[in-house]
Amino acid sequence: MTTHARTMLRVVPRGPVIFAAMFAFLLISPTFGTGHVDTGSFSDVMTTFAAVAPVAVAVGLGMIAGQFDLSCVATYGLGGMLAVKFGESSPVVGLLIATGAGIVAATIQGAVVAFLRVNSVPVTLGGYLALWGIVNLLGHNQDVVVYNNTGVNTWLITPVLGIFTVESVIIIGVIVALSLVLRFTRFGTSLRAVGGDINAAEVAGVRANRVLIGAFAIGGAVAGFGGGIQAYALVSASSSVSFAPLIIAITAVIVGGVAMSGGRGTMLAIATGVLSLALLTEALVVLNVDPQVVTVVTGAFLLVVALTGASELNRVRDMVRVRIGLLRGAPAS
Amino acid sequence: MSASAPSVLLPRPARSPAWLLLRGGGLAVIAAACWFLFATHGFATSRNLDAILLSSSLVGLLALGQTAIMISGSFFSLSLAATTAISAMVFLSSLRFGLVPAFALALLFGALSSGIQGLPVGAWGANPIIVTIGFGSVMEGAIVVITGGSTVNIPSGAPSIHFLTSSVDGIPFGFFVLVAGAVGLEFVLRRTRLGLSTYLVGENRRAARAAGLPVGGVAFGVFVVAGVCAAVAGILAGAVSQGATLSIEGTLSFNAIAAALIGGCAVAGGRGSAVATLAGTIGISAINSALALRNYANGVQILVEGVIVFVVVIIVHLRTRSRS
Repeated sequence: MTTHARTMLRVVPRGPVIFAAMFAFLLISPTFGTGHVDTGSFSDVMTTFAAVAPVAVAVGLGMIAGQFDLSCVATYGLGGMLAVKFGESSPVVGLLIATGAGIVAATIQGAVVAFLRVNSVPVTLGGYLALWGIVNLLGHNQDVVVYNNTGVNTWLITPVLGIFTVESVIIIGVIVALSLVLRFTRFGTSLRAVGGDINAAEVAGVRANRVLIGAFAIGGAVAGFGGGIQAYALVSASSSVSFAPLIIAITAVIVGGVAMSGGRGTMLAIATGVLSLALLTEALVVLNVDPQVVTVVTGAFLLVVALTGASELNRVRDMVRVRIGLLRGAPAS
Repeated sequence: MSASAPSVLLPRPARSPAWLLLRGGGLAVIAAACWFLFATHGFATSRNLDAILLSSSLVGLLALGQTAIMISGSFFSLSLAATTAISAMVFLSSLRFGLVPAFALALLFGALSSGIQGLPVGAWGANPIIVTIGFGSVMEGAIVVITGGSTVNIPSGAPSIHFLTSSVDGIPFGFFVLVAGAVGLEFVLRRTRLGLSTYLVGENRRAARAAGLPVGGVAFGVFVVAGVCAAVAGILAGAVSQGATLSIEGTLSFNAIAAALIGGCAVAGGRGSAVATLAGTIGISAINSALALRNYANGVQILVEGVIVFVVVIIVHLRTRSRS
């Protein structure tokens, strides 16, 4: 491969390319499968998007800040449970409580990570377990807790412009608002600085602790709010917090182009990643593929992205190149 | 230090108030926990204690594997539970070839399937959490496709595996295996070159690589160890439940990681011990048992586990920081 071609490949962003590929995959899938693609398929895509996006946003924000938040999927579940339990007469109150709880849960963990500089992985693992326990207690270990206010549900699933629903429009609105914040405020720049190199950012005058806690808090708010909205749309909340949505969220975030090492990423990248995964799963439905095969495919997707984004891959590649060069007798360059 | 030179008595370093508070507070908490346990009605019976040891066995074996991975600085593996369940399936279905081949195949599966995940983590610096999540998903999906979702049962005419579920004096066989595993792992970690290299790689990966330590080999090695531990756990689980499905996974992954963290392992690497992890496993099992005996809901057990992990991680971090 020529140097020019290699440079071009490095410049092409991963997220939009994968999105285009998944879109094309969905469009051509009817030729290989038994299903067909129509506005219903795209509306399914948007429904999946609305369900996955809140957790993906929380995970993505954490990753941009250089951290790894494992608890946001539990915050999502907690938001749903609280919204159902306290929002029967007033859905807005339920959502406020859900969002507030999300902020509190995330801020506690974020404060520990920021002030004590503890690694976010075990801290949020503890948080995940603790929040899971709370959700379980609130739901009295019942599989499904039913929400009795069906009016909200009817409103949330009202179709908008064919493929959207009120629910997905709300979620898209939240993402657009956040993307404006990340792009045009100092918080956004500070967030990427802290994620890239926290020490250098502090030397440059960034209030790293505030930024970290802010990132956690916003992620918690989005996860809690999203969980509440989703519970209203499904008219129920679950007592068990499954890890699976987190796996999908992490895959979406990385596929969309957020760097695992931190410091790089946008809301658009996260949204693109979630859409790509939603398109992929819809295509697999059209292909009438076994649900287990879907698990394998998303797992493989994640593996490929993890392997190609490995931090020391450049070093390995250069080492290989040097060795080949030495074998040929050329000077190492 | 030569015998002729007089040893110099260095003055003991002054202990800061914060250090004393942490030490004192830690002891007080442990004392309170012991009081809580033994004040629980029905806790200190031999039957209950044996039950605690049994439930510790599976989690403990996986926790040993997670300990090895954590010490090497590769965080943890989120696919060990899947390895356990699938090893159980491999073991049970391989019993048709005989007892020894079944053991060998299950252990080989565990070693290879886990080791292969360690390679990109060690050689390329791939993120271990994401690699193991992805690989775990692929393994789970693949095994359901292969078995069609049905339980893998013991084939007829297979040799007896009753000894795996037997107990000596009430103490289950699995617990002896766990203790042997902990002692063995501790020996490897403290007394062999591989073990010491593991600590060094976990402490500072770049420095270890610059010093010529086989970073990739160490990562491969700890993942193989974890895979073998998971396979042993799978063999025991398959013997106990007389049939293997993915439901064996349960919440094993998280309980194992929690046990290792509570035992004092630092997720960033460089510190931890197999014996401490064993203590952490038994401690968590004991607390869960006491909570269940006191009729607390399942959610309380999970919540308590989460809070303990949270607190211990902070304490371990503060202690490491005050030392350096």
